[in-house]
Amino acid sequence: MLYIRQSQMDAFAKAFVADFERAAVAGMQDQYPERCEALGDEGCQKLVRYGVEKARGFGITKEYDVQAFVDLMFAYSADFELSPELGWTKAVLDEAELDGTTKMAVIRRRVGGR
Amino acid sequence: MNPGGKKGAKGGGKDLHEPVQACPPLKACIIVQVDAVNEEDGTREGVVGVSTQLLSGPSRAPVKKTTGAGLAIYTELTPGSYEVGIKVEGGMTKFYDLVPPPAAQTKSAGGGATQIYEFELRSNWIGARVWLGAGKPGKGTPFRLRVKAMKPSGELSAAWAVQHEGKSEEKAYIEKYVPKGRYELSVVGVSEAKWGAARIVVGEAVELSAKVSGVDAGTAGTLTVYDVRDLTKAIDTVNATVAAGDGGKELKGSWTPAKGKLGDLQGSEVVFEAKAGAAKGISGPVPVVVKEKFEVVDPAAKKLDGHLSLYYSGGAKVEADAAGGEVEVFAPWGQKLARIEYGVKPCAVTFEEEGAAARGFLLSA
Repeated sequence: MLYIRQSQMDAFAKAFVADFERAAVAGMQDQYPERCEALGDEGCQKLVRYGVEKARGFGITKEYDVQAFVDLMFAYSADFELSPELGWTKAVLDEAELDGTTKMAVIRRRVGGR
Repeated sequence: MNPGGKKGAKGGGKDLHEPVQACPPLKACIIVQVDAVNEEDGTREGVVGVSTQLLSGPSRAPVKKTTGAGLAIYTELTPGSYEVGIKVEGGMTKFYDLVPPPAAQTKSAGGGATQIYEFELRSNWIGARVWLGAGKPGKGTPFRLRVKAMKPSGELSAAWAVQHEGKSEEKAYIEKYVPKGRYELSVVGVSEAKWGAARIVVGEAVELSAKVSGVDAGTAGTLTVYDVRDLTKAIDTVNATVAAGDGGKELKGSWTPAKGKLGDLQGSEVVFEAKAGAAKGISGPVPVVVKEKFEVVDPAAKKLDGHLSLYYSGGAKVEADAAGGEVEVFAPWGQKLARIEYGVKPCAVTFEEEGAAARGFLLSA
C-alpha cells in the first residue's frame, strides 16, 4: 500500500501552484509585454502570486478561472473589482451562492463584450 | 488581449486549491444572468431588479429579482429540465427593452452543477458634441441635456427633467443606460445682451435685456453693470428672473443710474454682465451722459439763440442749439467741459452742476 503523507500532499500542491504561477507569468509577459516590462520580472511574479491568492479568496480555484482572473488584473488593474470600469465585478465576486467557475463565467461573458 | 478569457468559455483545468462547491451534489442550481447590452460600445452590465421565474421544471420557487450583480440564484432544486423566464416591467421599461427572442429559455440542470440562463436587455444611450464651427470642437462650452422620459404607457412626461449639465470636451459626451424619451440639448449661454437705449442718462431708467439658453424660465439671475475700463468692480446689480417669451427665454431688468453709484467710473462707458445659472454673457458698451442746462447771454444779459459746439476733457464733442438763452445738453459722465464754439460773440455761457458752484465761459469777440 502506498501512503502519501499530508506534508507530501502539501509539497505537491505547492509545486503545482508554483508551476501554474511560472506558466502564468510567461503568459502575461507574452500577452502584456509593456505592463510586464514596467513591473519587471519580480513585479510580474508578485502580481501573478497576488492574483492567485486573491482569486482563492473569492473561491476561484480552477486553473482556467484563475488564469482569467489574473488576466483581468494585468489588463485593467490589480484591484480591477474596485475600478470604475469593472467595479460591477465586485458584486459578482462577492456573491456567496456562486462557485468560482460560475463567477468567472458571468464575468467573462460581460467583459467579453468590451 | 483577451481579458477574462474566451467569451462564454467554461472554467476548466485542475483546482489550484481546495474547491468551494456552491451547489450541493445531487441538486441543481440555476443562475439567471440579466445583462444590459450597450449598443454604443458593446459593453455589458448586470441589471438589478429584473423579475425572474422558474416557469416549469421539477421544483418550484418564488419569483426572484436580480441582485446588484445582475443575477438571480436558485439553489437546492431537483435536477431536471427548467424553463426560465424574465419580465421587464414597471419602471424598468423606461430604461430597457428585452432583446428578442426569447423571454424564456429551457435547459437541463442537475448533478451539482450550476446552469446559467443568460438574457440580454437593450439599453439606450445618448451622445452629445459641441462644435464651434469649421470642425473646431467647442471645448469648455457649458451645455445641458434635458429629457421628457417615456412612461410605461408609451406617453412622454409633460415636464422636462435635467439629465446632465456640464461642459463640452473635445471628445463627445456619452451617457449610457439613459431612459427612453425625447431629449433636448442646449448650449448654456447668453446672447444679445443689450441696452434699451443708445446712451444712458443719469437718473433715467434704462432697460437691460439678454437672450438666455440652457436655463429654465423662473431661474434667478443678475444684470451687473461695470465700468468698461474695470470689469472687476461692479457699479450696480439688478436682480432679474429668466422669463419665457415668443423669441425664447430672456433675462430683463431696469436700471436707473444714480450719480452716487457712478462716482468711480473711470471712463464714460459701461457694460453689463447678464448671468443666470451657468449662463453668462456681456453686453456692448454704452456711453453714460448727464443732462446739463446752460444759459447763453450776451454782455447785456440778453438771451441768445444759436448753435454751440461743446468740447469735453475726454475728447467728446457735443452739438447743441440754444433757444431763448437756454440750452440743454447731454454731457459725457465724468468729463469736464473744456471749450465752447459759438457763432455769436461776445457772450457768456454759464451752467450749473448739481452740488457744485456755477461755472461760466466768457466768449470774447
